[in-house]
Amino acid sequence: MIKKVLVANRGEIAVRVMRSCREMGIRSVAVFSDADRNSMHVRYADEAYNIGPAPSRESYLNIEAIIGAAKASGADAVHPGYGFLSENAAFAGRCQEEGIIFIGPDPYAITTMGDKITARLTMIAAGVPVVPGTTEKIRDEQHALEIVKEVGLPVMIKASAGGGGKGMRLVKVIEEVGSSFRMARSEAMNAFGNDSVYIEKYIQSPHHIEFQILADNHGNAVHLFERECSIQRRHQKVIEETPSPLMNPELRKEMGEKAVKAAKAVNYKGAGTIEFIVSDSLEYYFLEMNTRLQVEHPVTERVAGVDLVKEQINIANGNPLPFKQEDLRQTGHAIQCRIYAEDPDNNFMPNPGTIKHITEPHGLGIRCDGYVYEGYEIPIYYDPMITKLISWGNTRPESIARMKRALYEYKITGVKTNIKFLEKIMDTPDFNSGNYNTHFIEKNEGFLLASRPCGTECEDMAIMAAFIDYLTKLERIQPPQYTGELGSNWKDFGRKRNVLRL
Amino acid sequence: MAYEVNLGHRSAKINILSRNGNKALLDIDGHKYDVDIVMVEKGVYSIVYNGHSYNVELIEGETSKSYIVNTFAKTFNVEIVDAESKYISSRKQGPDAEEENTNRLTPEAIMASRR
Repeated sequence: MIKKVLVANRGEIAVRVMRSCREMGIRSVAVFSDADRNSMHVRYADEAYNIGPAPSRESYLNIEAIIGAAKASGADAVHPGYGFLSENAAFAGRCQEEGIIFIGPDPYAITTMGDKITARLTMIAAGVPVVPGTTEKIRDEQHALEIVKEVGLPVMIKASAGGGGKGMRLVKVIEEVGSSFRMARSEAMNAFGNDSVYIEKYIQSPHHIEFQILADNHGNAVHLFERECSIQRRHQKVIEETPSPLMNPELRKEMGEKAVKAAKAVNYKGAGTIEFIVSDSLEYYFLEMNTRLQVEHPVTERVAGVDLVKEQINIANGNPLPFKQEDLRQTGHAIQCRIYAEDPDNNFMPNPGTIKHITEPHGLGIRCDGYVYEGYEIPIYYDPMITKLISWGNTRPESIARMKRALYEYKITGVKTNIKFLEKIMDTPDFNSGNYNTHFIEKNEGFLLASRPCGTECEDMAIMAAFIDYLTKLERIQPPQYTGELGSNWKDFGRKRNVLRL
Repeated sequence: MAYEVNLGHRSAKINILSRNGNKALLDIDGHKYDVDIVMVEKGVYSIVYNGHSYNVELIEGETSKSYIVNTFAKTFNVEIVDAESKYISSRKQGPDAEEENTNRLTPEAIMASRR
């Protein structure tokens, strides 16, 4: 039985994992870089170990430093969270070598699904539909041209080791094939150290829909329904929701079964996500598998009523899943907004800094998974996401209304955030009608980035608040006015006596 | 005493006519505002005016007189131009600006300009 878990991560997800550990009576161990000494996960954990300097490469990506901390603390398991080493087969392998339980799949599943070309081949063999394209790496520009002619434009050139939108190029005209191939390869080399790229047909008006799966060591696997993740900016998800407005019960059942099949094809164990691309006409294709907990897992937890981290730990403990597919159902509707310290008026540039004031929203149907607090300085070294705000309602409109209320209540000063941008998304007619795909932000850019009207009265309120604040500060630094009265008769008496002595 | 406040490209004249606790009567560019203004949390002001409730967040800028102000609708850069700012600005713009700027202001001069 797992008694102590080292969380090989930081920030929001580290705190999230530790919360479940605490509920299960498991001790938690934090690791932290020099930049994270004041981070919430260090305060929340039962034990904490410094693993090196601020840059991720020297700390959170340093396998030996993390293994060292696990051994020093006597942790019997490691939870990798998401990002950093969560999909690193070498790390999972090192944990196995040291006799430490890796809370996640085995290195074979990570390797197979981590390489997109191998994953495509595995899925084809398992009968899961994949986007038409190549099943081998592209050798050169000539080879790329031949494939493009065969598949037909438009196409996507993608990095085999890719993810997060890196090493990905959309090609709409034949003249761009050569340059896009070169750029995708060079980007892939820089980001992943592997320049293998492949080509697949570009699906027009795509929807990004993923299925959460859980599989144990006893051959049981279930899906926990879908998440709609089509609201993306530069291939990064911004808002996720479940159920998907596009889905119908028949399609859900069919795609869910394919997702379970995909997981079983690699003998998967733990929590994972099968991502699909779905066209407007509801044709769906396997996109990739994420062999870890997803950032957006709370929407599934809320609607399916399952604590995914607890289930990950139970599976790692060798326990069978406590439910079967027929026991699971979706209740209500959940939406997640990712709140980033970034400046929407300045091309969403990261805006790290010190939090001067923060009030997080509460109330029925609101969950706030964050890690920042008043006075905390957001480090420049890591992802600028500060909070995940999750709303739940009986219906989609109720969930949207709650999210709007929560975004309004979320007050943070000291850093710029994308909160107003998220509020605008909630107000967009396409979002409200559920009629959107991955082009949503592009399509609604004018509406999303337009300033709200602020009349003279609104401007005057800004002037007034600043002016009153300035006056208050000024009053504080003024020396007290001398009124002619002495503060203490005893002091007065003492002074007179001193004069008399002279 | 009237102050000048720069809000983006707008320059407004503001004068506090009376203040009693949270209640304040202010004049901004000739418009009178009888408001209930209170700092509810550090850097956050709640203003009630004519039954309307405004929540205004202030982030201090590079100087103690400059702010980034967040209203529900928009974000502004606001700068308070007081006697001291005007004095410094006039010295910078004067014919002997270069020479004058090398002489630092004494605390006494700053306090005198505030009065």
